[in-house]
Amino acid sequence: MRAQYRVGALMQAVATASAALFRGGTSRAPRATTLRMAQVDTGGLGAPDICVLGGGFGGLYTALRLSKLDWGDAPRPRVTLVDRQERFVFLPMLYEVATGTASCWEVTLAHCRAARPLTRDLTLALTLTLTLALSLTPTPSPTRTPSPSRSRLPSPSSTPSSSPSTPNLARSRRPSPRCSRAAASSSCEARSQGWTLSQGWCA
Amino acid sequence: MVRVITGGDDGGGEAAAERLLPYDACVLALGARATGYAGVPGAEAHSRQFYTLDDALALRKELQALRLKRKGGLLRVAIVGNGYIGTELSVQS
Repeated sequence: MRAQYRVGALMQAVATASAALFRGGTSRAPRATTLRMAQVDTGGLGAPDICVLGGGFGGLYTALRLSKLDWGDAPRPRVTLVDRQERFVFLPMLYEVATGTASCWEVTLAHCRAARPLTRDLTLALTLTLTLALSLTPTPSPTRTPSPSRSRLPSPSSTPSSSPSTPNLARSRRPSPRCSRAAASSSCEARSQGWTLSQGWCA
Repeated sequence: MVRVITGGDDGGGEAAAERLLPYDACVLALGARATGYAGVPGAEAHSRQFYTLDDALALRKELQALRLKRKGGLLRVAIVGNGYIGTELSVQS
């Protein structure tokens, strides 16, 4: 199973296919793809992989807790969260959406933001519209810059600015342009109040 | 090995991209969906589920349309299931 990581040709083929499919891709996209594949290769060696399928309460909280646990001398596992949508939905408040007393941004939170307090580096694979795979393993390499990958995210909004647009965003430990861009591309975005509330859920 | 297929539709339509994720341990947390409807004929066709955000938005749209149609008159909504969500929904409406 581990050998699959070293099949560079396979990964490269997938990467090329993905890069071609990103609608918002620019000329920088191939470079970003190469960078991400390098991350995958190094990250997979030595550490166990845990796949969490489903980003609801069970999946998201399992993934967050797994990445939070003290693993001692054992290598930290690489936790990958796979979900059909890019947002976590707070189901207990859904009836308020149905009755019109809450907006959808109040009950949703982009997965990458939910995970951000616990991660120093996010490997984010947001492909087209349906599925998000989010790797939660903190990586030791501090030199990695997320900015080249920005152009890979499909963003219907053409605003070039990916800087935090609300004061609350600035409170995160390390603002990631990738995350804000990903959130901006979703129709219902958890902003200011939603994010404050959500920090409580993730605590 | 988990095969992540993106860009397709639920009916198994043509997938746009595919990626393989190897794992040592896998957590299945795929959520729930009402099925079977206790064998009641027509229940599935004449009701709507309430579990996802899309369900909630569709329900809101439908309720608004009904309110407009009845012009403030009484609406009758049957809620099946008296768990937390069902109770809250019935009280709020």
